[in-house]
Amino acid sequence: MAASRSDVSAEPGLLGGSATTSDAGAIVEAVDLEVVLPSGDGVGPWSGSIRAGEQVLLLGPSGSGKSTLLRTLAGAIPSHQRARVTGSVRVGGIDPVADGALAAAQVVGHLGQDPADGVCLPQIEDDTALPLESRCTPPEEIGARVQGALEQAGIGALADRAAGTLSGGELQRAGLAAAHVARPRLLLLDEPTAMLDADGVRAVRAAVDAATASGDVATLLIEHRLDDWAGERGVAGLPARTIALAADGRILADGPTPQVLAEHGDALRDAGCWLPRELEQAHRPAHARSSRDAQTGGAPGPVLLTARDADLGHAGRTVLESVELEARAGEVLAVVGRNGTGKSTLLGALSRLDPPLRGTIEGAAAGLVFQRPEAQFLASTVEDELEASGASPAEVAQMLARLGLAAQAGASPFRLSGGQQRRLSIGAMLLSDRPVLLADEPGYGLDRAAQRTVLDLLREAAEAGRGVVMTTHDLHSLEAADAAVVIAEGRVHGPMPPQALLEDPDLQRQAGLLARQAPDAETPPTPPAPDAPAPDSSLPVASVGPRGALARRDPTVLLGLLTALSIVCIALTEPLPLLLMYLLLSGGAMIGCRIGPVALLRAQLPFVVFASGVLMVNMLSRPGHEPWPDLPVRITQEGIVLGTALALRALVIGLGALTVARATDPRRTMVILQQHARLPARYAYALLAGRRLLDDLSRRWETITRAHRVRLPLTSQGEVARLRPRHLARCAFSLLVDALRSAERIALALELRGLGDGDRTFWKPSTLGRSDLLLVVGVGLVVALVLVVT
Amino acid sequence: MVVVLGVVFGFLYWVFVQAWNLLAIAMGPAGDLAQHVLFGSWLLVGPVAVAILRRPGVGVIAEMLAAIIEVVFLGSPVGPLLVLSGALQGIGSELPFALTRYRRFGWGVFAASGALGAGLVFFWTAYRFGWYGQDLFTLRLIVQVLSGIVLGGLLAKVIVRALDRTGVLANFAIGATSSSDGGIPERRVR
Repeated sequence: MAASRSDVSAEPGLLGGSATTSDAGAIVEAVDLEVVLPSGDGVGPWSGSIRAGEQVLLLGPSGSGKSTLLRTLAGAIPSHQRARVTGSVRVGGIDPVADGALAAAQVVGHLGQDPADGVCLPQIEDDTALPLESRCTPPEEIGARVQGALEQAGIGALADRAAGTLSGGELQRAGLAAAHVARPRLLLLDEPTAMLDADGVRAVRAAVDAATASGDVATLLIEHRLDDWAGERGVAGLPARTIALAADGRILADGPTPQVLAEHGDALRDAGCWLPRELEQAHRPAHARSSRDAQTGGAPGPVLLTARDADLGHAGRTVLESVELEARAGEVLAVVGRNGTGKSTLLGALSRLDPPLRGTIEGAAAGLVFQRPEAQFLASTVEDELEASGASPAEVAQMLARLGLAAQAGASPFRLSGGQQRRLSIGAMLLSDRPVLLADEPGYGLDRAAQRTVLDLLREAAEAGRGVVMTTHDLHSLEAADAAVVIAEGRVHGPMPPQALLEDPDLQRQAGLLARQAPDAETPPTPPAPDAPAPDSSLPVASVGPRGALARRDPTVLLGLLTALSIVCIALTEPLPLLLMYLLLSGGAMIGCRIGPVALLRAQLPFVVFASGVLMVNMLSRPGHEPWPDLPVRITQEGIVLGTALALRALVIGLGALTVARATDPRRTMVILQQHARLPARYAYALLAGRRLLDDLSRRWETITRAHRVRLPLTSQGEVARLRPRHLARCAFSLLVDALRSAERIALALELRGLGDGDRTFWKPSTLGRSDLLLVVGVGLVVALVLVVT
Repeated sequence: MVVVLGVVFGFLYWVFVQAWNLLAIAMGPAGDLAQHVLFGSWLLVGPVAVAILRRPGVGVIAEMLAAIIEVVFLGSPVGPLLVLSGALQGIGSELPFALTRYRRFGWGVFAASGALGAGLVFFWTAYRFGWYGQDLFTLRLIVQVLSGIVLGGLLAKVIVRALDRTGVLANFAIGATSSSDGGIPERRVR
């Protein structure tokens, strides 16, 4: 290793090439790199290097600092996240700690775990092009490289699709294309498959293999789901080298993966890490509890909740047909199935959130624990969160101790770790005292230790006489259940003993526990998956693209014309010229946007309401000559004249704004505004990314409001209660927190696409043409004519 | 970090516009006056941005970005001149914080921010809509400033405080000052 180089800034500029390094070809070189977070947790010190083309797995329990280390290499720490970094690190000759994510973007590609953040911009190909534009790639090369990267990721056919219409696996592959398109030297993958089913994992894996096939890209991978990642090849399918972290963040081992796993497997496992299945079985004995198997025995308890010949679905669309299901006291029932097959639909119906379309759901009340605990929090401290379920202080204290959260009683639920949050949300639901407990993916995203704790909580609830139903897509949780049902092709199959499922690969494939495709098969782009959030029509999206002659004009020109027109109108106080302009503009809008008179009038309805208010207020409140002194209210001539003018002014400007909105595509406008109107690229793309977030908001809002509704006490008819304004305000706050978290991740993702203040090229530049000039001159002449004539 | 703002405020404004549209239709012709009562909500992002990021200019930028979102994405009936209104609101909202050199974030400063944010832009809007010479002029001004103080000032403080408690702001300037010692402690030994 390079000699004593403890401070990075002490030797600026010396480390550009491999000349000063002892290991030629190293992409990453770290010397005593240590990161300490505000919580006091830390990772490192790490001294080591990663060579070009090397594949490295970063292994360690939750909280050991895997992501922190990865984010440090990506330049996100300390530029995006507060922490103290000591020691030195170089990535491809760049110092990510001193220079930040923007500098690191030149050599690093990064993909995180949430598909919602993997793609920043509303349209896939724009997002993939962003890193190339940031690096000033000549525009004529961008198209081919974008298509190449998307094809390599197996989603070449999705280039022009809106991000909101893609499934989780497709989004992650698009995110990978953007991370890889600018040919980084190091690819950082932070649990890229955490939210996918087995097929999704397989597709992402294939895309990563294709991206690294050339052998000159190094990868650093964090992955909990080692079996799904490795596929049938077992340990041989994992990256060849493993760096293992102990629970306190120190480096436990660094070496060939099989060797590290063989020597430190027990320690990693005891610390709470998942291991590949073949090793899990070899290391077995420690903890073979759970399943109510033969010896602990006992017949299943009484039936608490029954679905009888029920058709389930939302908005009239049947997702599951003829469902027969029983939840029994003392039993943990696992529901397995591929993403989007209807697992959540089933839980929604069992919790009484959604009445069945046909058939009946009968029996005891059920509480539903949502997949994302944060969606369900409704109090500002952990203690209040439990109390909100209607429990007494003594019960709350007891539950806090049981959940191991006594020390966090006064903290905000949002500050807890993922595992703690999951425990809290289950604990809160247990206190609400409903005989049946439903849990949506209770183990997802947790390491072994945290998942064990959660499954034990569910087991205890069952032993205390409740019925437990949980959805899952991982085998570990399945093993902990007493019975399983499989959801496939719109039906519920089973129940069956979990062992039957664990021994039947065909059934596992059907259930999405194993990938369906052969490992070497092509992964064709799939049609929009049913679990993909439907593009929402309530948002102001231009669902049909802009039409008509005006749509071909430059949006900057249109906005400029509208500005000029607004200024002229504001200077006018006479009704006549404004009326003329309004009529002319109406004609222009109908021709220029190909919109019919009725549609045009209907679109103006809100303006008309507003304008009539303006007219009325002016008539009544302006002093002057009164033509009708006998009326009970004072109406003045000055008021009528000026009021009409002001109302018309509002109408003209409103109509103009409407016309421009119809004629422009917001996405294109934003991109062009930075070309012609000098809107900084950082802001333009941030706003576009915000637009993408907006597309997702109505889905998130629905999840949050549903999650809050199941927390409320049931109505006297045993139905789920409605939310009151107080609850809605709380939901809105949850959504704001959620949006802030997403925004932080998106901001980092944009910087890692090289988005800064520097020079950039435009893939699809817009040039102002003669028609734009004609339009400006034409409109100018007409306005001047109106002013002269009147 | 300003990029985060753009993203989040896009969201906030989307919510406001939805509420606003509903209200405008519900109020009918009285909407012209009702707008002053709710005016303060348009100011919210300015003080929130300043309190979170504590850097000069972010209040103005946040308001202008929000205006651009309205014009380009939501097709605001006010048209591009809204960006000018946004700038005026931002300047008014940010001024009180600037006067304390971005060091004080008490209730008083927030209230002043709301009052100025609402007051400054009022005179431009009044010109735009021809409010001068109406009997209602003073009433409009008073209602708008009051709304600014409550919805655009004090409410902003409530939101910022609630957000700070959740820890989502830990990586912003406000997070650095609100943590007990302001620094990063020695690494915990486990």
